[in-house]
Amino acid sequence: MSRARLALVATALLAWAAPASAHTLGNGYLQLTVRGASASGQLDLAFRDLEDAVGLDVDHDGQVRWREVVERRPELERYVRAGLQLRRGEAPCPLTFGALGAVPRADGAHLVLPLEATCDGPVEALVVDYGLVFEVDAQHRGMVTVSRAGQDGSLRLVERAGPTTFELGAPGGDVAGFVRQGVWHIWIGVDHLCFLIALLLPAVLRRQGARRRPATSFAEVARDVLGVVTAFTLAHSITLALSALGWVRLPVRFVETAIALSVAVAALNNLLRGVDARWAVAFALGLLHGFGFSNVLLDVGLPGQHLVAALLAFNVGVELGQLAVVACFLPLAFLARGSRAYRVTMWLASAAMLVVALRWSLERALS
Amino acid sequence: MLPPPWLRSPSQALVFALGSLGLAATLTCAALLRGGAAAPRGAPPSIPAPEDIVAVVEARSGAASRAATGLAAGDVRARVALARRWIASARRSGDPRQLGRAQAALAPWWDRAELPDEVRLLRATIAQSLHHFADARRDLDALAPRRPNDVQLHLTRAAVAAVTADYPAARQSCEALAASAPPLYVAACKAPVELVSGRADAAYQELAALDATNEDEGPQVRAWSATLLGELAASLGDLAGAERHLRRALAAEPSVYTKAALADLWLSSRRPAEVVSLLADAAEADGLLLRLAIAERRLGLGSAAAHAAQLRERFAATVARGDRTHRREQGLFELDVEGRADVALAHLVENWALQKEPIDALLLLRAAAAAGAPAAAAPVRAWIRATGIRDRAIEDAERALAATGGRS
Repeated sequence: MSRARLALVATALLAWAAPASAHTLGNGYLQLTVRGASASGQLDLAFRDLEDAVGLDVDHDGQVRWREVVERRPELERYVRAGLQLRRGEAPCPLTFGALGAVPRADGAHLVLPLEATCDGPVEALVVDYGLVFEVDAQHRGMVTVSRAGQDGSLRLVERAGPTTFELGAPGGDVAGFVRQGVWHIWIGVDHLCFLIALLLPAVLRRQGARRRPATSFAEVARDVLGVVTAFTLAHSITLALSALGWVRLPVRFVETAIALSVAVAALNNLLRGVDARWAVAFALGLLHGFGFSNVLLDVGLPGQHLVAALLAFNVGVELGQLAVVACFLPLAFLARGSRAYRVTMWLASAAMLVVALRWSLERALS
Repeated sequence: MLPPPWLRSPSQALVFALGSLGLAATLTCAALLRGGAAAPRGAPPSIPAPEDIVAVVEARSGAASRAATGLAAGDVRARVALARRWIASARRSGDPRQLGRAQAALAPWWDRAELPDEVRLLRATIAQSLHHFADARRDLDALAPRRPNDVQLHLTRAAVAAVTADYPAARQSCEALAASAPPLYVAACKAPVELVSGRADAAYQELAALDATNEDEGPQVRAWSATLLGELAASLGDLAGAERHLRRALAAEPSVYTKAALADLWLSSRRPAEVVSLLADAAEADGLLLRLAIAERRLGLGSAAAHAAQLRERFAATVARGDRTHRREQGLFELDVEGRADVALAHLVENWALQKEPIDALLLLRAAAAAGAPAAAAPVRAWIRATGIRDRAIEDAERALAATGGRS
């Protein structure tokens, strides 16, 4: 039997060798988050695939060391630029790359390449033209996820080089998306919640001379709470609209510091038994909070059209989240209003908020 | 009747109503937010130290790969040689990523209806290895009448036909070998078909005689026939003989397939410690890692959890890429690692539609017994009756299934 024939047979023996040797085939992962006109995220490609596609093992010793990867960075970038294009419609979104990293994946160690694409306008549909690794591994698959900031992404499997279009719709998705963003923001926005609660804590008490006594009727308490909440809502809605529509813009650091200080002021007002008309405090300082909300909204990305609807939906979300907090807080506070414990709690909570808020102010001012 | 105490005054009622409203609002908001969480990501990236080894590769294989991308599209000779090298390498390592590389070498013809015979044969070989049996069969059937003396063609066609339970076609391909290959090849080709046809004993005698007198074949062929003898012996219940043949095969040429066969033999005879010593350092391939995890779990070793997690992740990645051809391994994983017999059963029922080797029958019987769903194994029992297979492990599993009340 000739040598050539033997080689053929060896190939044929795969017939028996294959089934038990199931092994994960190679994947590339591209995850992108769209904010306004930019898409940022990361690309993960297996070192083994990059060794074949680009060449990483510079000294040919069969081992790819991290310094070799770093050394080959220019070639890696050139390879990725040639094999991966992002477009907004027909217009390309040029790529810039961040610091290289490594991550373990099911099919082996991957290189992580953070990237950012800058498009020529707000992205409503992103075209991802993924054509990496296929030329060396026809069984390669690209797992591409594109999402809008704060929303679920959609995953597409790319089986061969070619463009895939991700329809993102208007930023924030539908109206419900913006409502959700609003609720989410008020709930994770500890500063907004602290401000509101600091203003509401004394609502179940009323002043008699130098002392505070429990309020007698629920109607009286409800009126007070309604005043504070309405004033806060009105104030932050005004500045949210002004800022989101681009009429008034304030620096983020200034707004964030001022919001932290507003919490300190509200807490101090409780400790010093200062202003009784807390609705006025809520209005004056609530103006600052609106600027904070608008920064979130701008981060999510505002749609070119239906801007007002998105703004309204976001605000509805904020109010819903706020209402949920008030509706939980108020009955408990009302039931507990007569006890000494309530007043002690109020004092302690206000003192704690004062300390924390002052720390926030410092951190934010200096960051 | 007095109202409950918390409803005695209007203000208390109002407080109660508001409290409920608050709770409802909170729950609504929480429900709204549930969909808003960010998509899950992999582990956070790290930055290795300069001298850290991030990947071990075959030295200069990358250069070969890149050279291939520069080959002329019509360079049949060079592309076929390259594809063959990758396929051989995939066989040694059990790494199907190399099959993707072989496919890439053949890219100019991959989706063509008209292509050179050599390329068509390799396309079929790759498709078969990726468990795309129908695609493989189409190419092999097209080639068979044109290349009556092609050993590789007939061996591959026999294998595809046997896996998909087309035993007449498998037998026909093996007999076609007689014209151009030594009798050992014909006997080895037929062995899996004879095994499922209830003639394991005769097949063993014939192959053993040819194997004993064989002197001029290389290590690959010796490993091949020894592995088949091991499988036939195991089927006949001769576990010591099976182990001897499989060890001989590994000594001639180690392969993932033979290691898995030996591991299965030891797992079925309750010798997990030997599986761990065989596979502890060499379980890169999923099929081997799976058997290692089963053995470790039976021994109560701490490493079992990490290996199970690794497998879980690999199966998830496989499913995510739309690959449904790993159901045998997934079924075995669910059955013997996760202990979820019903999930295992679902995988193995689907696997049975794809491939019908003795191990597939065995696993489906075991899963049906463990899940208490004997009816699910009806297709396997029909297959056992139709083929007349006599296999020790399958008979044991059938008895165990009958004992669970599965007389159908």
